[in-house]
Amino acid sequence: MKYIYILIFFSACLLSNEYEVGYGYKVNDRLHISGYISTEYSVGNGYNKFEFDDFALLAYGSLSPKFSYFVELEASSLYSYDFGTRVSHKNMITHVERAYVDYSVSNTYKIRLGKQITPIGYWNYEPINVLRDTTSNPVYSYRMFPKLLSGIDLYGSVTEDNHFNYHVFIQASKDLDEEALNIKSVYFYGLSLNYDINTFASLGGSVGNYKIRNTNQIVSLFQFNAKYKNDVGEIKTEFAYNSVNDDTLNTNKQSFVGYLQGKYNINEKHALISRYEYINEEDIRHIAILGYSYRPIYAVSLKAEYQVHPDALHDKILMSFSILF
Amino acid sequence: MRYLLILIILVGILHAKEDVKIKISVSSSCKLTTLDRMEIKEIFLKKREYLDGELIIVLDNPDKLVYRQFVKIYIHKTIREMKAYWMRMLFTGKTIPPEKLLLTKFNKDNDNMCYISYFRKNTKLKHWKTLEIR
Repeated sequence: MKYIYILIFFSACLLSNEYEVGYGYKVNDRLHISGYISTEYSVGNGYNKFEFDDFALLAYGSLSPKFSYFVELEASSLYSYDFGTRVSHKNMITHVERAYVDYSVSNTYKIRLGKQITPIGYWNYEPINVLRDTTSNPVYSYRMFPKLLSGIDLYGSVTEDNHFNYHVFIQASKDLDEEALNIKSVYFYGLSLNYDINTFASLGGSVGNYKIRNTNQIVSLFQFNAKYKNDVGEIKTEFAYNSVNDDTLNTNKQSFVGYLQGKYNINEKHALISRYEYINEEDIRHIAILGYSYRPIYAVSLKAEYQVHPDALHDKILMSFSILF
Repeated sequence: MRYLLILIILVGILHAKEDVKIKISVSSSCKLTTLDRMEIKEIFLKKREYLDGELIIVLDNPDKLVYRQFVKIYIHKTIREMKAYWMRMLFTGKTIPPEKLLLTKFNKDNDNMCYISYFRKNTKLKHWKTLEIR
């Protein structure tokens, strides 16, 4: 019975004048509700799997002209089924993906407090399948720094024309919700700069330092990003260098990981994507990806890609369907 | 019946092609009197929220024809690109899209905030002033 109520509620929201695809449902001036769904299908060596990957609900709004909030609750890997082994998994655990408040003082000084996206580079700002051009994430995006930050970010524009932006961020406590974090840190602080050269091109870089929880590993991070985008397509690159010191073991390890991605817009709905990844950790690896993206409307994304790994056993096909609502 | 249908379609096409003359106005409490085209673009994309220390609150006109014309002339984007831009801004957490303008609510001189929006040139507004575009 409760599912019928939920269905009626969502149907009423979708049919309402206050609903707009992608922006969600406006409950009142201070509350909008939105969300997204993402599903994935992968075929590789020894598996043939469908996954109901993400279901998330968002609440956002302005409490006053200078004060706004954003909350995202997410359920990851809800259901998966392997067609080969006929094994299915269910996971009903939800977690707080993001929860923060924003306060704006001026163009130069804005403050964000709470669990938020770490303000580094381009890829990290695209945590949702629909926003990305490929189903998969490059190794760079989850290996080099914590994707999310539970702390404070002071940010704004350095110049009057808003082309030169900065972020100074710090986390000095436990994460707000440790579920689904790529790296659990004891502390994390850093500085990120981004410069828009013109309408088409931008570049930026970040430095940071964090300590990994339950270890004595302290990581120094150096990151660089650059992008060129026009009507024909987009080319972007991001690289990060990590120096990991472990005082207990008295060791120092370095890693250098990055990617170069190109996108060609066939037209405004169809695009071809290729990506090269360079991973220099304990050994050197290269990954190549060829992909295709179709967006009938921006809020709906259908993608397919083929991944080539150094070891052919890891080669795979990935497809996804995702939607913002 | 066939001629009636053709007429309806023609009227529809002509209506869709209609070029609406636009003016950009701010609420009377704003200090702003003039803007250049780059500033308009940056303000309406919420890349710039303050001008000369004054917080400017963007309101989108709910009239689809006016919106389309404004986006074409001042933002240089298609409606699809504009929607994509706001969805991207929203879901990446960079900023939230502007509220829609309700004249019944904002045609009053009841607060000291600086609102900015765009209107058909012949719209009569109380407590709003039209900006000079440099």
